[in-house]
Amino acid sequence: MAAAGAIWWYLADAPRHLNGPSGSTVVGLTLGSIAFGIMLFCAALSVKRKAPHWRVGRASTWLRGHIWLGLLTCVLVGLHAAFRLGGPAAILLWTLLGLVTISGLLGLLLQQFVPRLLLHSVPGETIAAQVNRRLSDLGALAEKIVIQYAGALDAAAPPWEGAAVAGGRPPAGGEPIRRFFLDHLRGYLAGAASPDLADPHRAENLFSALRTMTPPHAHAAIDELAGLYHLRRDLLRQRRLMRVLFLWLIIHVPLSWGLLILVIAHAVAALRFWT
Amino acid sequence: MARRMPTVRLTGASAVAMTAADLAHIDIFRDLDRKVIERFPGAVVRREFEAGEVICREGEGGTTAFYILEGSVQVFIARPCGSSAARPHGSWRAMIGRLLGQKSVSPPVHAHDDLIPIDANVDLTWGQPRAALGAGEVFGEMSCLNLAPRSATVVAESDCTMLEILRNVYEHLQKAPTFRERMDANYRARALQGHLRNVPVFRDLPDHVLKGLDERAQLLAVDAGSTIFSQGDEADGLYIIRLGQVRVSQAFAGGERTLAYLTRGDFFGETGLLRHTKRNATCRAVDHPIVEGGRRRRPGRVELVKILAEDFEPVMKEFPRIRGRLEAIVGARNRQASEARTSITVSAPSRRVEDLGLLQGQNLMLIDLERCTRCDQCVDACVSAHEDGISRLFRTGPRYDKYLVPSSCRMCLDPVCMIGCPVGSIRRSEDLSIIIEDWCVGCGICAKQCPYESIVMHELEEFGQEVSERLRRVAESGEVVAVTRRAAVCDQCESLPTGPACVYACPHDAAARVNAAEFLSAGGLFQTAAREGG
Repeated sequence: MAAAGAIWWYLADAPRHLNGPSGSTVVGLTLGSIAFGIMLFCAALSVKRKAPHWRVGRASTWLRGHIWLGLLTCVLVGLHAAFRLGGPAAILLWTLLGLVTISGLLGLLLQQFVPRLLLHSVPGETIAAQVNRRLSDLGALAEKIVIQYAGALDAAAPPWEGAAVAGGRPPAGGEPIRRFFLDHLRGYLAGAASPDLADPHRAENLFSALRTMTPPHAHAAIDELAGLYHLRRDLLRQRRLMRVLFLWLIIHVPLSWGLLILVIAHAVAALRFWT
Repeated sequence: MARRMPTVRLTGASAVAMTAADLAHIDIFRDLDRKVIERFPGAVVRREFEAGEVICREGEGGTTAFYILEGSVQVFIARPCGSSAARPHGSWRAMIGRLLGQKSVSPPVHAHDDLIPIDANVDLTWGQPRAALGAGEVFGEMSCLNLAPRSATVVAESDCTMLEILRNVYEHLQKAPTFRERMDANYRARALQGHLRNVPVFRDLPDHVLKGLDERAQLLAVDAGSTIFSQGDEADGLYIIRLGQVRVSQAFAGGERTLAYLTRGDFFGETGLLRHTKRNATCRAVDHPIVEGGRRRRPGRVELVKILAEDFEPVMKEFPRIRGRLEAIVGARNRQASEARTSITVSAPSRRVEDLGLLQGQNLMLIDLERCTRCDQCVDACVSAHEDGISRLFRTGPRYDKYLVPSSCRMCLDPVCMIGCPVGSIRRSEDLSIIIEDWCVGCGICAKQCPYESIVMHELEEFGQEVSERLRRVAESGEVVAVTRRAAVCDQCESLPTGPACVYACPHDAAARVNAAEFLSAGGLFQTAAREGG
């Protein structure tokens, strides 16, 4: 409605000017000023985020205002400039406004889909700040499971040394688990390239093969290792998706501040040479 | 075959094991069967403490009671007013923050004589959180009998000689008439008046009336787990808790709901007397939650003071103006009960709902993971809304359908976190939120008790300093030191007009505080979970 009102005012005013509408007319200047005010409001969102509890309106209201008023700005700026590109400075402003708007819309779009993807494809999701730490812990956890079941990993030591089995005898199925860990899982959990485990189908086959090579009582340990494998996949997927989810901000925020600074410079220069 | 008894012994540099012959000279042991002492060698030891020496510290674990033979001790708890504040008070930033909605965690207003219950025959008050105990007095009964953490710090005021007693002997001692009489007399002399004054209806009574009540009051002991009275029983008296805890619950169609856990100095049973109606709640004696090494143990004891209806009625008639005060208390308790009643509306919840304890949540935090962009604004808001800079919300926890159930207080139907607080510093407010008072001694029992990890223990500013050294100075300087850590729980930002800061700060309307039963049944999510085989 605001956009329609602005367009109606612009069209009603346009015939009154011999050279056509421009930013220096009263209407153009007013619409430009309103657009500038909205830009300041949009920028204030990042200030509001620094103090989320401040009693200046719900964050969701602010965000809705940011989005809708931000879109309105494009219309107002277009009317202010009479849909002309203008000189190099104006072209730069147009470019920045376009990039800011597009990146904002991209962010809006990503925020509709990526949370759903995270919900459904990352059951083991954790707090974003803890992803790297949890990833780095997985290797040690797996090693503990293997040592507990199959004994020391050191080739020089008897393979079952340290294993939680009575009588000091080697646990049945311990060696295949140890081998699997050393040959495949340890490297994968440490972040090394592992073509076998990178492909989930091949990984599933490997775990199935391991189960067939070991007695049933070893399967609990294998299940735990498989759990850690899946957790790593989940955490890596979460990290990727989180990057995607926040990537647009890398463009949107600095360009928004850049745009605001240039708009201030544009306003100062325009007012200075107005007369 | 005779059952073997555990051979627990008290040891230590200054511990001198007492034999039956040694104890025979001490009057309180006069009635005690010699065989008890002989059966448990080392269960009673004599200890010497120099003036200024710390005997026990608040919040620490303890399993023994102390009987003072000679000398006197100072008993006190820290009063950490403002010590949890992470930001400077009075600075311009704090002022602007408060103007714009930052919540101050400065202590609530307490009356000078508000009672702080401790594990001794004296009670501390908010205005004077210290007291002295002398020869012939006991402290540490709750730790000894119920394994409660030490409720206060005790420092030798002068050179002291004490008997430190383990539970296996102390239980027998409690049954010995001389000891029982001595303890009851001490309680009547030192604490009962204070406890009676803590009951609002008795607060303004003239001393002679209160003394009359004091003399006629019955001192009772019940085993933990037993019912003191049931909903629907005739109201025959008002009870005050002398030792231990009591669970107050009400039965409704569809379930039973815990209204409160009461602790030393609290009272119950007043509604029936005031309104001349039957009991509207069931009260049970509660044991301390800690179990020795995971083994079952004998139930602890709860000691009560009973004011009989026939003693209560004349007081009400003689002083009609104080009836109004009691009416206010009854009204508040009834409001709490009716708040509770609204939440029991769900039939046949799925197993997953039960496993996650969702129906416990009367004000459950839920985050819609389809809307949440993981921006953590909710957590940031929680941190910045509290002046101590501690988050009461952690964006981690189980999922239910598309919702995350984060670690944050749910205001449970049965707030088991309230069981076992040695100083009664955790309570439920009228709007059912859980409040931790400033005299929390940091023992961590509530955090361990909470099944949903919603209570966090955090270090206070003083942590890391040499506490013992400062405690040594207490007896000389009269200084009151602060505890080193304390518990924090979501208070629903009750003082903020905007409601919980986490919900207010969510830019995507993904965070909500809901009554779990109403929300989940309205959304048909029980069925969803059932379909998923939850």
